[in-house]
Amino acid sequence: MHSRIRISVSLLPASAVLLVACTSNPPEKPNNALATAQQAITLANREVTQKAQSVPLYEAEKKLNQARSIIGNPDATEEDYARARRLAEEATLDARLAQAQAAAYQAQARKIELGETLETLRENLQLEGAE
Amino acid sequence: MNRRALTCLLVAALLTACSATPMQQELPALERARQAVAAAAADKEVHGYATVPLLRSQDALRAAQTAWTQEEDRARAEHLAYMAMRHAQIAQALAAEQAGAAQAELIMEQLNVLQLQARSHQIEELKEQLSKLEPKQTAEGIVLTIGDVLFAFDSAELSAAADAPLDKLASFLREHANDQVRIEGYTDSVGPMAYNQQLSERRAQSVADAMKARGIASGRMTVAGYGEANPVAPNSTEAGRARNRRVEFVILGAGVPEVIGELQGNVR
Repeated sequence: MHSRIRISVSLLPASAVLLVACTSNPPEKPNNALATAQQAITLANREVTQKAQSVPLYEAEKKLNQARSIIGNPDATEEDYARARRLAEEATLDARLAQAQAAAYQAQARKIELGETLETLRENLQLEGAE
Repeated sequence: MNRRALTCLLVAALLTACSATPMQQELPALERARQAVAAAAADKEVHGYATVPLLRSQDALRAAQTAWTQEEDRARAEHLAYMAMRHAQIAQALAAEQAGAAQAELIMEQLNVLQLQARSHQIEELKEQLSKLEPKQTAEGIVLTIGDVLFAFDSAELSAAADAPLDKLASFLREHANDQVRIEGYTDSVGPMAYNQQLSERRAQSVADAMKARGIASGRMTVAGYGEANPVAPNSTEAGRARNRRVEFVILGAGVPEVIGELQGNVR
């Protein structure tokens, strides 16, 4: 029993060596993913009129900041970079959702406004016709 | 012996590992993603306007499920599930925007049709009103006459009955803002000529003031009095004299507007 444990434990250094081997390659920073996220946030900021109400935009900005601080860390591992990439990718979709929601809101508001104008005009015409 | 033991251990460890991984366990992120993708897939507007983001969400959901059940990579599964959820939500938002814009476009078309109707209705009404003002075509332009109701004998004060025709004239002038107008006052033949001359000028002026009060720029209007000249009816009867106590609008239109053009046709 005792010897079995020792064997399995002895595997650990090997895997550790493997991990070290992986990290020894200069890890690539997910700069493109971060730039894409920044771009999406900039676009969303132009469209979103009620920034205090857009949770996705808030989340986008928060995640991009997290991703930035991860890749800004000189001791960041490849795993950290993978996490930063995921955060940036999520931030991109958060921002796109914020933008799409704002556009949908505006389209809806325009539709309602036009509908009211139409209704008023219709009523006026009916009143005139009844005169 | 040792080897066999090791093999046993490895197999046992693998089995344990398998049963210990949360393979049967549901990942909350995955469940949220599944619901979001299902909602988008059930949205008619998404199929009409946002098929591509829907497909992206379904792809990401499949990848997330694979990452969870086969690769056992929780971080990747959660990330992909999140992406799937967002793609699905984006699909619904984009579809709502497009559908809203399309509906707004339809309403806009109805509005245009109705506005055209309202406009022609207005023109009809105006034509009817103006035809009561005895339009005449002269070398200078169109002449509209407001008689009968405007003034009492020996008075330049507009009667209450003058309000309605004056309103119509004002709205006509507002619609044809480029035309200059000359307002000419006339009297009946009772009384001294010089007095009637002054009275006619005061009558023209009080009509110009009434027009100004209705928003017509005074720069567009000139005022003239012609006393008892140019009677439109015999001065021998009271009815004729009432018609002669009048104000004429001469619309000095370079571009004679369509309504007037049609009215000319009616008069001829």
